[in-house]
Order: sequence, then structure tokens, then C-alpha cells
Amino acid sequence: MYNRTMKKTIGVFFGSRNPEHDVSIITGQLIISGLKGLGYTVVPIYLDKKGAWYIGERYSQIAHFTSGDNTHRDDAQWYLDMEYSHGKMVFKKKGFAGKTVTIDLAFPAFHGQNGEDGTFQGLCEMVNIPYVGCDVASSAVTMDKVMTKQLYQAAHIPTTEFVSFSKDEWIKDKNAILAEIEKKLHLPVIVKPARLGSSIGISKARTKQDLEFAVDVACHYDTKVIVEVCIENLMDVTCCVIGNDTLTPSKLQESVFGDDVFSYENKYLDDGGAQLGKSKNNIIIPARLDEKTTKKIQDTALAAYRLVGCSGIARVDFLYDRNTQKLYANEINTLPGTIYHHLWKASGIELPELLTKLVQYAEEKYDSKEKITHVFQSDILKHADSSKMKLKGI
Amino acid sequence: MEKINPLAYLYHHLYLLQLEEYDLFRYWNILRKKWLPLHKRRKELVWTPKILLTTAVSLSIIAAVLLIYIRNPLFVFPVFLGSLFFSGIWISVALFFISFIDLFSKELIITRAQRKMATLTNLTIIGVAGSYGKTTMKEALRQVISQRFKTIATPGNINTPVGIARIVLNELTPQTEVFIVEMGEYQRGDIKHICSITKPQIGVITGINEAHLERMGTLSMTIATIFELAENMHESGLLVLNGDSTLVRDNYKTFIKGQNIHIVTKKRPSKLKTQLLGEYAGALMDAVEAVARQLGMTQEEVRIGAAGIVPIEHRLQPIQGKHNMLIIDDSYNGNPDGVSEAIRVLARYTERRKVYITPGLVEMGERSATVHRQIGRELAPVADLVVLVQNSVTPHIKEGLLKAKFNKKNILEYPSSEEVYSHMADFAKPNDVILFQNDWPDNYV
Repeated sequence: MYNRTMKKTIGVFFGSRNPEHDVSIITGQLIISGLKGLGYTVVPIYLDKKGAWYIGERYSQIAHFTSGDNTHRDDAQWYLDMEYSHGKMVFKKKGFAGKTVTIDLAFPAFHGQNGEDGTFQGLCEMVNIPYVGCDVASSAVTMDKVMTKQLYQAAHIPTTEFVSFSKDEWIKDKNAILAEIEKKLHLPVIVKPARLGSSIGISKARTKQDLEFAVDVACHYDTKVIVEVCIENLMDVTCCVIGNDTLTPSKLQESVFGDDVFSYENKYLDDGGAQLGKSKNNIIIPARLDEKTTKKIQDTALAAYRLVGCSGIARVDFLYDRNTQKLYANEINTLPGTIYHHLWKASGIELPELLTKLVQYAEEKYDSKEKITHVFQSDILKHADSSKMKLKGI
Repeated sequence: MEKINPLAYLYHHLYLLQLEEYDLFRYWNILRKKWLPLHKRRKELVWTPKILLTTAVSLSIIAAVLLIYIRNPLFVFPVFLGSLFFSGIWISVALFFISFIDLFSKELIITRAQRKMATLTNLTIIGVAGSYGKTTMKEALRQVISQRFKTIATPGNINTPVGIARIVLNELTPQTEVFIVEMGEYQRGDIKHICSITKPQIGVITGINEAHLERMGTLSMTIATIFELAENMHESGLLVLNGDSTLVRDNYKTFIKGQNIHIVTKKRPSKLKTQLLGEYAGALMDAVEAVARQLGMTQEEVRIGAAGIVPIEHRLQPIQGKHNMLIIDDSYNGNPDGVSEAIRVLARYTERRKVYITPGLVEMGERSATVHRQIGRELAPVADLVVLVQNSVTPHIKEGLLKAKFNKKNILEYPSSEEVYSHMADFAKPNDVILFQNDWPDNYV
């Protein structure tokens, strides 16, 4: 069983089936080398675009992924050994006297679906091991832009107006939805697939024809679509938050051109993009805002973090209108690219300290969960089928 | 030492075989000159399954010969070592055997695929053939058709009979409703062979040109091979032809067999909206629409399907940026015709500020100055700002621009691509359309 003082092996999981697979590799490499520097035993676990799992030291080298075919069949012959995976995650290699890899703590470095959305977190919960970052519910809720905004509205956190609908509804009655959009919002609008982490499938529509096409496009990437009102000339501000109960906000980051000016996987960004925290020209830390506004945004970030039940780390994005001084909370990212270490560095927390804290938060969360009673004595089964139970309505 | 080590000979001869890609003719050409293992190797031998098999078979052949002819056990080992000096011969014999086995196993795979196809009665097959544009057509069809049907398309560049047979065996299931098959032409009879495995109800011919003349020999051979699709598909099926390709238009009547013919052309473009910017999109979508209609799809399904069609990366690829900027990434396009088309695409954005970023084109040889002056002239009436990544050819673009009365103030020059990217924020404005043309790879700078 897990305890804090033992020498632990940390599994860093990255890749997986989503459009942000490549960015996840970069995040994974950063975390692996950072944790190794702290003296942890680290096991790299790579999930390829088809969903195959690979375990092996070679996946801790970025160079390994830049050369064409990067997987080795041999590394894929592992299975999760359910006999021993209680309070730890045990992978066993197929074959006679196969090797065993035991993971005491999981560090997911996934972005987007199949990893950042609660799916991987669910696996960790089932085998009962501590894991870094947000839990199942908060990961799942923040993956869905519609649900996030509905929560904001319920908690009176300001956010931009929106309309959402399913692909089926769109196919059945396009005109009714167009009418609703026109009634509730005004053009231009931004159309997004509701549950995609990257900027794929997102487009801006200035005319009704554009709008129709934009929704058609979004329908290719998700069965749920969100249309948001687009207020022009807003400032993009981001605040990162770490912690479980006691929260620490980062400084604010202002994106001059925003992370996705050139959209996803564009080499012009990759060479010096904000995504990797290298671009000096595109981002400004701290954001050019007065102290009062900065504080207001940080407080809203903390409120949003608590609202959806985040833990460990998350990034809250905002849009700020300098003219009206209005603030709009936007998406929450439960696993920001490269854990936003550039912003933490600017906020006075270097990578080793950040990683140490994240591991600690994971342990704290695990400990407090362990204190909760999960199992109850009950005689329900003994009396199953009895008339007494039937009276009780069971 | 190398010269008298028999194992070095074996290694060296295997290495050359791999270097010459198992082509026996080329192998012996190089063996004659480099029999001795004395030459410096630029690379090393990679122990692929094929090379391991060749080695094993070669050694077995030597062993077999020894067992038959050598009676005295004391001689066996020295003679075995000695025979390694002639590794090239054993390897060649081994390869000869292996190629027989190879041929046999390929035929076996095809026969098994044919047998499986006979059981899949629910399946509609779409064959796509042509000298160019097959991948784009295949992807467009897949996007639209998969809105309604369980669709499988041959992946990547798999387009040979054996490659397709493997897909049939590994990926098709009784649930598959449509199978889109890219049919490659390498030699006469190829497409006929593919049709014997997957006989299409719908055929699409994307165009014919001189693209693969070196492997086909003559143009009439190319035409005959590609039209094997028309001759070997269902006679009552639908055949879609690209009318903008002269060689298709002039020749199809000789080959068709009573199919329904649908000819597409960019002069009658489809009204379907896609994310493609190129001029080929109108005709392409007309073809896709014809196929979708044949399959009984609704307007709605076709429309949503078309919206998902995206260009191949870095080829006239529109990217929506923040601040309403539109980036057109054409960085993999490096020929003058492509540049002209890109400039025409840029010209369509009449209401917006148009920025054109380029380092010019490589490998234009003697034509370089002319080609780049021409680019400048075409660009002058279209672009509002031209950003040049400085090198030997960009002065010609500048010259062309200035000759066409382009305002000198609207030409920016930077020494490297990195400089351009880091100054983006200075020259790009909200609402701009920015075209990246032909990013120059480092080895040419």
C-alpha cells in the first residue's frame, strides 16, 4: 500500500488518441526529465495515436519521437496485472517469467480527450493510486465547454453568451437553431466543437452563410457544438492555479496574439510558440493590468478552480474588455501544456519546486480520500429475496 | 585483416545487397567493382527480417552443398569458411529462392482476399485511379461517405494488388458498407489485377499526365493501364471522369463499357463548401457529389460531410487565427504554377489586407531570375505587403515587384525565417490574410 515515505516509482503517461498527442509528448518529456532530476524513479508510458501502450526507457528521449517510426512492438507487450494492482499499478510483460513494472504514483501528461478528460483519472481511481492533477469529475466537466459555462452561470461568474446543441438537432432542424442563435447572440460568433482541447474545428463566423458552414465543420469533430458571442478586441489573459485546499495563483499572462493565432501544430508557433513557453514576443508576463484588476482576475480564477473542484493544477483563461472593464471567464485547462512552467518560473516557482508540489498535492489528495469510509457492513444480500426486503421496496 | 576474414566478406556482401535494395542486377554491378570488403562503408548493415532470412537461406545453401559433397568431417569447417569468400554467389542463389517464395505467398494473399470478398455481399466498392490527385479524391470521398456509411479507405499510399489484398484481409468486416480503393499503376495489368480482387461498382479517374512516365514507358501505356478501371469495373456502374484532363477527355470513349458516365470540370464547379482553397475544389466536389448521390445520400449528409474536407497540410491550408487573421499555409508548395495559383487565391480576398511571405523557389536553375521576376509581377497588383526571407533569389522578386510599380515601402526583408516569425507582431494587423509560400528548407540556405 502507498505511503509517503517510501521510495516511489512515478509513471509519466503521455500521448494518447487526440489531436494534441504531439504536444503531450513534449509535456511528458519535460516532466520525466524534471522528476529524474529530483531523484525519483520514473517510468515513461507512452500511448500512441491508435491507443497502444508502450513502456520503456527509450520513450524518455524526445529524439526518439522525432524520427519516423517511434514505437517498438516489444515495448507494447504489457498488460495491467489486476491481481496486484491495488494501491499500485502493476504492468506485467507477456511471456514466461515476464518482467514487472510497479507504479506507485501516476503523473498524467495528457492533453485533450482520452487522458485529460477524466478517463485516465478513472483508471487511477479504480486501482486506487495517487495521481497528479484534477480528479475525474473536474477533468470531465472542464473538457466540456458547455458544462463549464453552465457552471459559471450558476455561480454568477461572468462568461460570454452562448448557444449549444447536438449534431442530431442540427441535422433535424438547422433553421430553428440558426434562428435561436440570431435571437440570443449577435454576429460575429465563434463556433467550437464542445469537447475538443485544441483549436481544431474552431472558426469565427461573421455572416449567416459562414455560420452554417462553421457549424457543419464543428460537427466533424464532436457531436456537441457550442456557439459563443464574439466580442472584438478583447485581451487574452491566463491565470494558472496550483493547490488542493490552499491555492496559489500564478502571475497573469497576457497573450498578444494568443496561443492559437496560427492554430494548432503550426510550425511558426512550434518554433517559438507560447504553447512551449518560449515565445517572448507573443506573451507578456505579468499582464499589462493595474493591481486591482489583476487581483480581481486572480480571485475569479481561484473561484472557478474551486467551483469545478479542481485539484493539483489547472489553468483558467479569461477575456478582458479594457474599454468596459468587463471580465469573461473562458475555458479551464486541467493539464496545461508543459504544465505552464514558464509562467510559474516568472511567478517565482522553478520547475523542480513545481513538480515537487504537484507530487505532494497528489499524495495529500490521496491521503484525505483514504480517510473516507468506502465499505459498509450490510445484510442486504443475506436477506435478498426475502419478503422483508420486498416490503422495503428493494 | 579484413581481406582474409571470411565473415567480413559475408557482412560486406549482405551490406551491398541492402544498399542496392535487393535488386540483383544492380547488386552484381556493384559486386564486380567492390567484391573485397575493403571499402569504407557510409552506413552499416541493418538486420531487417528480410536480410536475416537471406542470411539464413544463404548459410543453409552452403551447408547443404557441404553435406552432399564433403565426406571428411575434418574438412567441413575450413571449406565452410572458405566458401564465405564467395558470399555474393550464395546470397544471389538464396535471393532467387526467396523471390519464388515471395511470389507464391503474394499470390496466396491475393487468393485469400478474393475468397473473402466473395462473402462480403453488402459492400460497395469505389475505385480511384489516375496519375495525380488520387489521395485528395480518396480523402474527400471518405469524409463525405462516412457521414452515412461505415467506410474504409486504403490507407496512405497503399495501392498495389498485394497491399490492397492485405487491407481486405485485415480491415474489412461484414459490417463495412463502402470500401474506397486507391488503384496504383506501376505496370500494364496492375489495375485489372486490383479489380479482380475488388471489382468496383463506382469508378473515379482523377486525371492522366506524364507523372510516372519513367515506370510506364509510354503515355499510351499509362492511358491504357488507368482505363483498365473502366474495362474491369461493373458494366452498369457509375464512372466519374475528370474532364479538365485532356488525356482523359480524348480517350475515354475507347474504353467504357456501358457505364453511366459523369464528367466533371472546373468550368461547372459544385456549390458545396469545403475548407479547400485550390481551384481544383469545384470539380473535385462535383465528383464527390455524383458518387454520394449514386449511394443515395441526402443533401444534408453531403453538405456536412463536405465541410470536413481539409487540404493536405501545408498546401493552401487555411488556418483561422485570432484577431480575425487568416493564415494560408502553402509552405510545401515549391513550383511556379503552384505559386501562380496561390497568388490567385490570395487575390480573392478583395476586402482584406493581403500579406505575402516567401523565400522564393529552389532548384529553378537557369530560369530562376525569370521565374522570380514573374512572381514579383503577378504579386504586385494583389499583395498589400510582401515579406521576403532574404537569399540569392529574392532580389529578382523585388525587381519584378518594383517594375510593376509596387510601392517599395511595402516590401519588408528579413535575413531568416526566424526573424520573420519573431517580427510577425510588428507587421501583421487584425483582419489580415497572410500567405506563407514555400518555406525554404535549411540545406538550401
